[in-house]
Amino acid sequence: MSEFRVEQQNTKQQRQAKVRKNLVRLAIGALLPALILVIWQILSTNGSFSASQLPPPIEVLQAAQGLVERGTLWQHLSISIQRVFSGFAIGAVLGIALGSAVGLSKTVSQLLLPTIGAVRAVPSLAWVPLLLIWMGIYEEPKITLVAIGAFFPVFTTVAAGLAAVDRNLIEVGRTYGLKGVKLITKVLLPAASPVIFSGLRLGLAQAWLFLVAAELIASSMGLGFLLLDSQNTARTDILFMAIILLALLGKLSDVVIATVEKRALRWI
Amino acid sequence: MSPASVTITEVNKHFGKGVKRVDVLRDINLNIHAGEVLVLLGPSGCGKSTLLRLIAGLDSPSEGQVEVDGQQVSGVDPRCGFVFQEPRLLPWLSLKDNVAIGARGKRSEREIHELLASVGLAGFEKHIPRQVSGGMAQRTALARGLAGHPGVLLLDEPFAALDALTRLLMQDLLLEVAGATGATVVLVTHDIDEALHLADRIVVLAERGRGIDEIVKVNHPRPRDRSHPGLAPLRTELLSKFGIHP
Ligand SMILES: Nc1ncnc2c1ncn2[C@@H]1O[C@H](COP(=O)(O)OP(=O)(O)O)[C@@H](O)[C@H]1O
Ligand SMILES: [Mg+2]
Repeated sequence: MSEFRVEQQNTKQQRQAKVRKNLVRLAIGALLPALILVIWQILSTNGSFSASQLPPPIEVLQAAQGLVERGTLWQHLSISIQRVFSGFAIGAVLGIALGSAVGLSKTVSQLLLPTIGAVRAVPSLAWVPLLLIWMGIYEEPKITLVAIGAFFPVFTTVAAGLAAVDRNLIEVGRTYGLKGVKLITKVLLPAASPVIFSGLRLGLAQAWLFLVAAELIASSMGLGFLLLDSQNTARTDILFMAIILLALLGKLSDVVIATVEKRALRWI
Repeated sequence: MSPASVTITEVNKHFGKGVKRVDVLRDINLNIHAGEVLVLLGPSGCGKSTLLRLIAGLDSPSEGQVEVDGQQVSGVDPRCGFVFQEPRLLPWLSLKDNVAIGARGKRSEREIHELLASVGLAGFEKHIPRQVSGGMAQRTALARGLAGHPGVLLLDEPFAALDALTRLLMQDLLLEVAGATGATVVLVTHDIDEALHLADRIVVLAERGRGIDEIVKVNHPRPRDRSHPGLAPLRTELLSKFGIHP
């Protein structure tokens, strides 16, 4: 991707205006979470809910602190992040590879689409028992389930995105001697990249979803396990903490891709 | 590459099979001389674009053959540059990188800058397509068409989408840059004045599937005065061919 000059004069005034605009945006975005926090605080202390149903926010924070002090929070977090990362990487790479093959070749598409469609129709959790029998109870089945979750959105969007690339641009590539892999990397993939990025983001969201499923079912560590464990031990404070952490991690990882996307798609 | 000749012999082209078959070009014989400016004129849908695509090797004739410089065209031909009706720039590449695509990797960075300068785009090398006007984009497409040092420059209604003034400027620019790089020019248009301003010869195609109607020679030195009275009889003749009687 080539760098190009974006026309903008960075006068001091413009920069200040931009900072102000970002601050306002941030403030507006924080409005609703703050409101929820206030309502949460009120409901948890005015007797509407018992502490085992809805612990006040401060207790959730204390629960997190407790886990940090015992040194287990980081273990749960890191194992979950590792699983999502590996599973997403595998699912995304396979999704891009197979999606490209299906999007670019009618023959491959006719060959693969019915089967992939059928596999896709299987509710994801139905795979769990099979994965456990095949792969045991350690990391492999969990990473595989996450990979399955990440694969489908990426596969579908890449295939559709490549098949929909403007014929005129492909013809330009052909006119100037591009074919095969060069045509794919120089014309087709860049042209489909907006769609591919949205597929990656969907895939990442699904990866988190499938992670929790995997960890709820068979795990002794991770945020999903923490959810289940806190339910069993009636630690609603830890349960809330795990939910909030999942929300934060999901958002954070999406922001990472969104940042890459914004840089890569400046031409749009 | 120096200007190349194009020889089209007994070319037929149809699309589809059986009842769906459409004969687009029939019995086309045409010698395009090296270095000349040949304009293809004809009603919409008569096969002008198809003929241009056959010369470029983007499509192949059903029968007959197309030769560039005496060598048969088979597959996309590196001796041809192509300018489409729309700029068709790759929107994620800078203007410079778009022109580089046309150079097929054979030109240095400096040559590409010079080429962009020759179409009046010095200083815009790093802009991307969405940052420039339609006229600038089409000038970039012209530079891209010439970047591979083509023997033949093919243009398919290249100025049709531009405003009237830009169109006139582009016509003169085309003659200037194509002349400088030395390429045979084959241009499709439905604008009779454009044809009269640019062409050494005008090939008038008949309705679809009817072949060449007439070849008109324009014996006026260039640069031409657009309102030269000597062009008026030719203009009247061409207009009447399309059923318009001034
Ligand atoms: N790939 C194709 N498949 C089927 N028909 C085509 C194809 N390309 C062109 N045609 C038909 O050939 C005719 C001539 O097309 P074209 O060469 O684009 O005309 P022109 O450029 O003179 O307007 C049209 O009727 C068009 O529908
Ligand atoms: Mg046409």
